[in-house]
Amino acid sequence: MDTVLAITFKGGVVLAADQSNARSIISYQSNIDKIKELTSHSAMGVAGPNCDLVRFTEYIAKNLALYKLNHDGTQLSTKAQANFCRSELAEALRKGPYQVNLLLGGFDKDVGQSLYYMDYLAALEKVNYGAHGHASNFCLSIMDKEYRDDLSEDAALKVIDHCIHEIHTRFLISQPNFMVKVIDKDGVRVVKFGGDPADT
Amino acid sequence: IFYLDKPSPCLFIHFIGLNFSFNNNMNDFVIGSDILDIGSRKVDLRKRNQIAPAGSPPFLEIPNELPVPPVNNPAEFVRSNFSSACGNSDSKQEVKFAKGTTTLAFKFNGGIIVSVDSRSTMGAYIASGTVKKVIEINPFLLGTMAGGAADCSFWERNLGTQCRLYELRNGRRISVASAAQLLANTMASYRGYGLSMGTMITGWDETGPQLYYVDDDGTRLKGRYFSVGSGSTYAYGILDTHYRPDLTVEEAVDLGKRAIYHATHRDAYSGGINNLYHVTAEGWKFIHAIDVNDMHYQFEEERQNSMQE
Repeated sequence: MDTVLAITFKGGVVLAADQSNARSIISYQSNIDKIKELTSHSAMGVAGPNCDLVRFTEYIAKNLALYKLNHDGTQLSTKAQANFCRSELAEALRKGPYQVNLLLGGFDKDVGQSLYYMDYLAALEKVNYGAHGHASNFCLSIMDKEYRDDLSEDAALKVIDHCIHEIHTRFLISQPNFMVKVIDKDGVRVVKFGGDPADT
Repeated sequence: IFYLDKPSPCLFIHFIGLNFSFNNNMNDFVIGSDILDIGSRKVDLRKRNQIAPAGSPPFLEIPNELPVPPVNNPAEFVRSNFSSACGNSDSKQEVKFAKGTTTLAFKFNGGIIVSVDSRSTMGAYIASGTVKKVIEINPFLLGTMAGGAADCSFWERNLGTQCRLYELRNGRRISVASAAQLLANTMASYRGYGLSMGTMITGWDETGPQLYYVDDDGTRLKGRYFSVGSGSTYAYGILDTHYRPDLTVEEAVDLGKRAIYHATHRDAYSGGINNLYHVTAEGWKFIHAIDVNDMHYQFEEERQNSMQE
């Protein structure tokens, strides 16, 4: 039921996720932040139940911080972070699986932008753009048509806006608020949100 | 309290505080005395006296894990035969657990209001009209109960134990966020076992008033206001329409009272008495316990008076 969208552009990655948390017919909150920052230049958009979302992202983020402390300030590359996530998901799969689908995006100085698509069965693939949730049925075609290798940041944000507009038009479940973040050479920053996560 | 239709053969199921025995060959438990013994802890005391002689201080047993039935897939067995789900999905079960509720809590500039009903239903039978659905964990922490009555009261009592241990180990009171996280971790470790609990942990700590919603599937949300239970949709209708952060204390108490009244009016599984608490920097204070039926006639009279003006 959650929606996570992501698209790479020349110099970075745009991540977008809906902000609602609901159970059966009740919407409990619509200012949740589902895009968790892992390191200074990477973040992952997560779709799944709140419990697994929080447990998994905090576990990964703290382990990455520990790696940095143990290795003299060296940060893992985005590719290494994605593979670490995948291996944690795979190990937990037959014990107590995390029911999370994620899109992990990051910017490295040598490689540039990268985006990794992962699902709850621990499949991992490097992609240029991706979507999780029912919204993927509506949005992947938009991204297929509009993606170019040399997109600018504004053009990439426009593609995400088209996707969000389509979700609001066609998707049965109400997801009024979306959080949009951009990762580029300056780090992770919030572009816009519908509901302020700090408003609690 | 529990009426058993037909006993299952050769199965011993142990719940803390409740003892059922279906197998005559068990040495410690005799058919008949346990069924009447529900709620008392005579059996536990008998066992404990064998280990610690009379006169020694009682030892605090915090169960690290609940004993589960000795079957191949305990989670699935417990979930399908002893779950306390909402609606009537437990209609096939021998034992229908007590549930049905409206609870709500909201933060405003004058603190936090916690307002609950007091009805407990088992299927179509009203088991009790005087349940205390607000648990006073410590003078600065309150927890509400919605869902399975047994699950809520046991695990919130367990949370109270953990909070007290935190105080003794760290020399200061636990924060609301940490208390809510402890409960959420417990719920996460029992995922899939059919627990049913929707609770709000609320209190006033160094960071100010805090309100957390904690669920039986490990959800933990921080928010301004929540309503939980079968009647929560009706309470949300009143809360969403009239909530403002700048309510006065009287207006806030009135809002909490009315939201519960309207929920009990429409939801069959909610009713009884409205218990209302107010949490401030000095701790929680019990405000009132008003029968919702009396509220009905009082509001009706107010409506007549305002129509005549």
